[in-house]
Parts: sequence; structure tokens; C-alpha cells
Amino acid sequence: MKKILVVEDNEDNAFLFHSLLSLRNNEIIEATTGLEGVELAISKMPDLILMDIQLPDVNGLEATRQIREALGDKIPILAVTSYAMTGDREECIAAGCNSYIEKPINPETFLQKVEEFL
Amino acid sequence: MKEALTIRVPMKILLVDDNKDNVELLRQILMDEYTLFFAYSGDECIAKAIAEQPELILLDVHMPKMDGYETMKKLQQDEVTCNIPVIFASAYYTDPVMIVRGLEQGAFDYLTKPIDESILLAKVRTIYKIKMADDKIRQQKDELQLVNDKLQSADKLKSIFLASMSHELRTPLNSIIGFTGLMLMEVAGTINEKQKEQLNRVKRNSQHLLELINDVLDISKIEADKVELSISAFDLIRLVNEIVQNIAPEIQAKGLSLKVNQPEKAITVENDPMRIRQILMNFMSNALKFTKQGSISVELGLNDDSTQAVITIKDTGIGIKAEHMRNLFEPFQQISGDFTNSYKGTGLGLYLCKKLSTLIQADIQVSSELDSGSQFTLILPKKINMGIIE
Repeated sequence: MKKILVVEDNEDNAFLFHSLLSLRNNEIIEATTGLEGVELAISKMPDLILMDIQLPDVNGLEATRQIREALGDKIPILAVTSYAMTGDREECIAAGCNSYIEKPINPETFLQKVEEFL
Repeated sequence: MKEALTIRVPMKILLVDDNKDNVELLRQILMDEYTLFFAYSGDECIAKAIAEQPELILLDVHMPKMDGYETMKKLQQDEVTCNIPVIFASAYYTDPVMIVRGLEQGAFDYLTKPIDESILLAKVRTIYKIKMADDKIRQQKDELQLVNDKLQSADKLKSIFLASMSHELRTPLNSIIGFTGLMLMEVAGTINEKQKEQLNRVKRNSQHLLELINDVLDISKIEADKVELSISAFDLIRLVNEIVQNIAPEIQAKGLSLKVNQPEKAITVENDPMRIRQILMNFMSNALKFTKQGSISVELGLNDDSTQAVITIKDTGIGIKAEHMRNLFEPFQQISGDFTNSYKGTGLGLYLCKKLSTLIQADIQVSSELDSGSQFTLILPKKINMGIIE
């Protein structure tokens, strides 16, 4: 069983990710702010982190930077970004994300991408 | 209306003459209608001109130390006084050479003494009229500038608002599209055919809404000047092939044939591949959307002197009516009438293409014949001019 940390402030979206990820028998940990995400990443050491970018307190980019600083790059982080023109994606990669999933998500491609990094 | 509200302040005139009697004479003539100031030398004239900001200077030419010509030169060198009109007055220098010299130096007029009272008053009144007209023009210019500034900032604000709105709209859409997809995956239990059909409609329409929001976001980003190009050198043939491969399954599924005509040698282009892809994808999906039978062909090459790359996408579709050609690149100018339901789109695609093409210094050309097909051509420089990227 793999441990996945989902950092997402929108309850419905968090529930959606939870529903999809539990299809594959994963353990899911949830955080609703950037700082909570950083804390849980350090204390629970998940196998994968899904990071929303717009979050209360620190945003997903800053949270990713802090996680990278504390833990190095052993845990893959996938940014879950809203559709963006080129610049925004590069920003995610520059902050330390391994890749990104475009929001609104397509359930199949979402699961495919997650599998890829587990 | 506005005219009546303007308070007419009497014009301020500075009288300059080293002879006190001459100053007194001018004072008598002008005192009833104007506010007067007096100076008795060139130096004093300059000091008073700066301090009092008169709207006219009556300047004697023949004065000890600094004469009228020199005084005027100094007035012209100071930005506070350079725009004040000067009328020369002289009893000594009355020959045409001296008069012309004064006028050429920039004097409004040159009066010879003895000064005729009525001529002087007429000249001063003319200056006053010119000044009033000038003030009015300046005031209108300022007002226009103000309106223009307001419009520009409102326009930018609108674009920023749209960009953030689109972002906010996408969050709930994530749940709608995601949960619909999840239900269609039937992981929580099977659904019957009727329910599946209904859910597919929800899915299709949320996808459409998403496209609409994405287009609005792109356009508002362009209009808010928030687009950064990412320029690189790449092979255009490869890019076009990728696009063609992407859309080929849909073309085949519709029973259309696909022809691609391209040179064997690579066409290296320096530009933003993402933007070019966006434009060509738009052309391709339009061709697909509006063609029921026949073919879609893609042609790729260079212009005659090899300075530009030319990509043409041609279909055998419904074509465009002549009266629609003019508004083709305007927002929400979708072909209306019988077609609306069968050819659903955002109505923003070509508008976005036009905006993007300007950004990447490319040009779009269209030709079409009703009921036999359309042809969209993208012409782009082989090398984008980095000097003029906005």
C-alpha cells in the first residue's frame, strides 16, 4: 500500500482525488494548507505528494520549495495546476515539482500519471 | 454652457521701457482692460516675467545695457518664460531690417513709436483671442489624455479580472468534470445506458465550458500583456507532423481523407512553438468541424525568397459566406443559423489565433468558397525579430 499526501484546499476537489486514489488501494493523507502540507510531508514521509498551487498561507510552489529543502528530492511531487500558458508550468518545475497534472483533471489520465510516479 | 462658466481673468501684461514717460503712456492706454506690471530694464523684465508670468510683454528695443533683442533671447532660453508672446516697440529702430530681425527672432509683432492707441489695443486683443483659443486647446488635450488614461487602465483591469475569474471558474469545473468521469468509470456501481447517455452530455458540456474558459483566459492574458513568448529554434515539419498525428484519428473517424504535403528537408524556424501549435490546432479543428465529406490537406513550405514559412490547411467543408469573411476574426462571430448546434465552438478560436499571430509576428490569410471549402494560411518569419517583441 502506497502513502499519498494530497495538499488541496477545495473540499470537493480533495474528495474527488480521495475517491480516485482509493480505487488503487492507496493510503491517503490530506492537508488543506501549504504549511500543513510541509508538516505532513516531513512527519509522514509519503511515497508521493499531489500539490495544489493556489493555497491559503503559503502557495504550492513555496510549500514544494520548503519540502525540497527539508527532505531533498526523494519524494516525487506532482503539481496539480489549473490550465496555464507555458510560463506557469515551468515555474512548477523550477520550484522542484517532478511534473504536473492539469486541472480540471480527467480521471483516467490522472490515475495514469499517479501510477507513473509510484 | 461651458463657455459661460469660464471666469475671464484680465490678461496680465508686462510693460518694459527704460523711459518712464513711455511706460506711463502705455499704462494709460491699457489700464482699463488689463492687469499691468512694469519693468525699466532688461534684467528687471526677466525677473518680473519669471515672477508674474505675464501673458504678453511689450518690450522696448532700445535700452541701455541689455537691449530688447538680447532680453528676448534670454526670455526664450528659460522654459518658464519662453512661451510668453512679445511685442517689440521702438522709436529708434524703425527701418524694415530691424523690424524683420525682431520678427525673425520670434516676436509676435513690432510696433514703431509713436504708438497709435487703437492699433496697440487691437493687437493686444488679437493676442488675447489667440491665448484663449490656445488655452482651450490645451485644456481639451488634457481632458482627452485623462479619458484615454482611464480607458486604458479600465481595459487592463478588465483583462486582469477575466484572467482571475477564469481561474476561479475552473476550480468547481474540476469537480464537475472529475466526478462525471468517475461515475462513467462505474467504480461505485454500474449505470444504465440512459444514465450513461445523460452523463456523457454533462461531460461534453463541461468540456465545452472548459474550452470557453481557457480561450477567455488566453485572450485576457494577451490583452493584459501577460504573455511571455518562449522562443526557440525548432523544425517546423516536426511540429506540424505532431499536430497532424494528434488530430488524425478524429479525421479518420469522420471518414475524411488526410493529405500532407511537405518538403523533405527540415524547416528550421526561430519562434514560439507553443503559440504556433495553438494556431494550427485551431485551424485543424475548424477544418475538421466544418467538413462533412472529402478531405483535409496540410501544405508546408517556404515563400519565394525563403524568408518566411508558409503553412496552409485546406478543407472541402461548408465554406464561409462572403458577408462573414469580414468579421471572421472578431470575437463570438460564429456562423449562426442552422449550423449552431452541429458546429459547437467557443466563437473565440480565430480571434485568439489573430491575437497570437500578431504576437509571434505572423500573418493569417483566408480564402473560401461557399459549399466547396476554406483555406487558412499561416505565414511566419523564419526568424522572429527579437528587437520588436512587445
